[in-house]
Amino acid sequence: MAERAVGGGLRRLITSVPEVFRYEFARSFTPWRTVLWLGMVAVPLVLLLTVVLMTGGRVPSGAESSFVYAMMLYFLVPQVMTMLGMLLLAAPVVSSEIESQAWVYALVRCGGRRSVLLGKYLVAVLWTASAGVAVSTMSIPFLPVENPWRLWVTMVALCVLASLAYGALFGLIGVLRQKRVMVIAFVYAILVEGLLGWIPAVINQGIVSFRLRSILFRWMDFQVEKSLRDARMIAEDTSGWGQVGWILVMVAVFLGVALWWVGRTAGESVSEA
Amino acid sequence: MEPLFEFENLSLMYGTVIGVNDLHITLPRGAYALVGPNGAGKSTLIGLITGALRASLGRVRVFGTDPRASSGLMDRIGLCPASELLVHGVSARQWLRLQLSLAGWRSGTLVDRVDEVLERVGLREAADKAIHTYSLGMRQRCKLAQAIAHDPELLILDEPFNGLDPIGRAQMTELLVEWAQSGKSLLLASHVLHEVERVTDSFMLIYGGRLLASGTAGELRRLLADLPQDIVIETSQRDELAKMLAGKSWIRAMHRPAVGNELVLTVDRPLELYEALAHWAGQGGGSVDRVVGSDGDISTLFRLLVSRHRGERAYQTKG
Repeated sequence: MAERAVGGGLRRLITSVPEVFRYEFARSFTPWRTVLWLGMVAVPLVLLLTVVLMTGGRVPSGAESSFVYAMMLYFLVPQVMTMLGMLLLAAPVVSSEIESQAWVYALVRCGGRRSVLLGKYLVAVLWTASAGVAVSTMSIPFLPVENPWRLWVTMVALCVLASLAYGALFGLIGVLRQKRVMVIAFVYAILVEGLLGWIPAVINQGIVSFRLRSILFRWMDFQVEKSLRDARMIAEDTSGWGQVGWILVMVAVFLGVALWWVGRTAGESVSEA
Repeated sequence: MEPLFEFENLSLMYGTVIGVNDLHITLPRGAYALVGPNGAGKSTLIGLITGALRASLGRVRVFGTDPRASSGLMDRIGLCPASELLVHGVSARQWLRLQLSLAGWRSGTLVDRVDEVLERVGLREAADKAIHTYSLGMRQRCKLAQAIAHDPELLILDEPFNGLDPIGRAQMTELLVEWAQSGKSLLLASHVLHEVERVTDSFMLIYGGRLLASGTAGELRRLLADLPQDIVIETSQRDELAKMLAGKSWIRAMHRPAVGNELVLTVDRPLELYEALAHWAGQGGGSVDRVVGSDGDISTLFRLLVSRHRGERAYQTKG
């Protein structure tokens, strides 16, 4: 017993989460996961390059090339690809463990459920964010934009933030519901992130996609028409770092609730499963 | 020293289905077999002990602690669940390393401890093979390895013999006997009585969520002697014997099959029957060719208790 890391709680979490991450990362190199990652990279990359090749870099009159291609890249990568990637990897965080009958082993360890949740979340973030960074890195040199370096830095930051936020959000959904979790997460993604994120004023303030768009507009200096800006429909006209803070607060809240909930009720969930 | 288990009017309902029904017993530290058929409530009781399930009524204490209130309690318990181990793409070494780290072991000491435990359960040679390629017996040993890896004070096993071949059963039994002899506590749940009899002498018989009886094998055998049993006596003086027994208060029922020399009795106190038979034969009343009764083992007791009614009354001889 003397060799054991004494104590529980935060200290136990700090020692065990890296081990869970290491374990989950090592076992995540499956053919399915590799194909998924390649698909996440290839689909937006091919779409972007096809558009560039077919239009010859031309954009509709009155539009700026940088704006059009940055928005396309943003929509395809941090928004859709990252959201779908986290939906596939983070939402089944508990249900996949129950399915493989491995959850019971986390259940009978002091703090085990929280460590498994955090470790699996970090692995999902790594896989998804790395795909986003790869797409951005491979596509931006071919896009007709004015400041590619600035766009790359913005996109990398957005991919990481989107992965953290969507991972925490879908992880929370996965903790709250183990049955049909993918369907619930998908419906949430379409209705809330896809539709409500465009509804101005109060509703879109707590929605990840609105915050990500706001960062893009601020860091790329894109101008929003006054009426839309006043309505705060597309983006919020405040500092980009303020928006980053918003997203990090959302991540903390989603993860905090998920950790609290998983530690509180997972036993019953397992027995029901 | 605090008792191993304290169950106080412990009940758990799954909706309208009873999982555990009014369990009330205190057990000191030691090795116990929890025996009952499938669906008797063994896994539910284990769920209550490990804090995975919440009691509907009553309370449970393990080492004097509420398992749902004490996060540190699980460091003192090792659980080998009945469910199949289905993890893919990892070796036993990787998986055990993870389990030990979840149990709070520092990275520096994990490697040596994993090797030690793999050696103990006989998986050292196959330690780096993927678990999903293991035989059922090897997976059972892998589950046992994670249960004992963090050196718990109480080991709980739910149907550990399931799917094992005779060699695997013998190896598992040997490991469990060794564990019990080391002075640590053990709770071994099984639906096969003779398998657990080799590991421990203390039993809890459970059926329909109720504790039918508990105690050592000797205590339970004495209990058996006081329970009604069906006994068949073969004698050429069947009618004379029936006449002699007819007035006895401990004869509950008597039946003479149309064919043969058998007399089938249901007896409340078998010992008194045997005494009466000896007296009758000794006095020249007749000769007894054959007596077929309960074989006196715990499985007979269990069958009797179950058949007599499903725990309306618990026969408790210990605690």
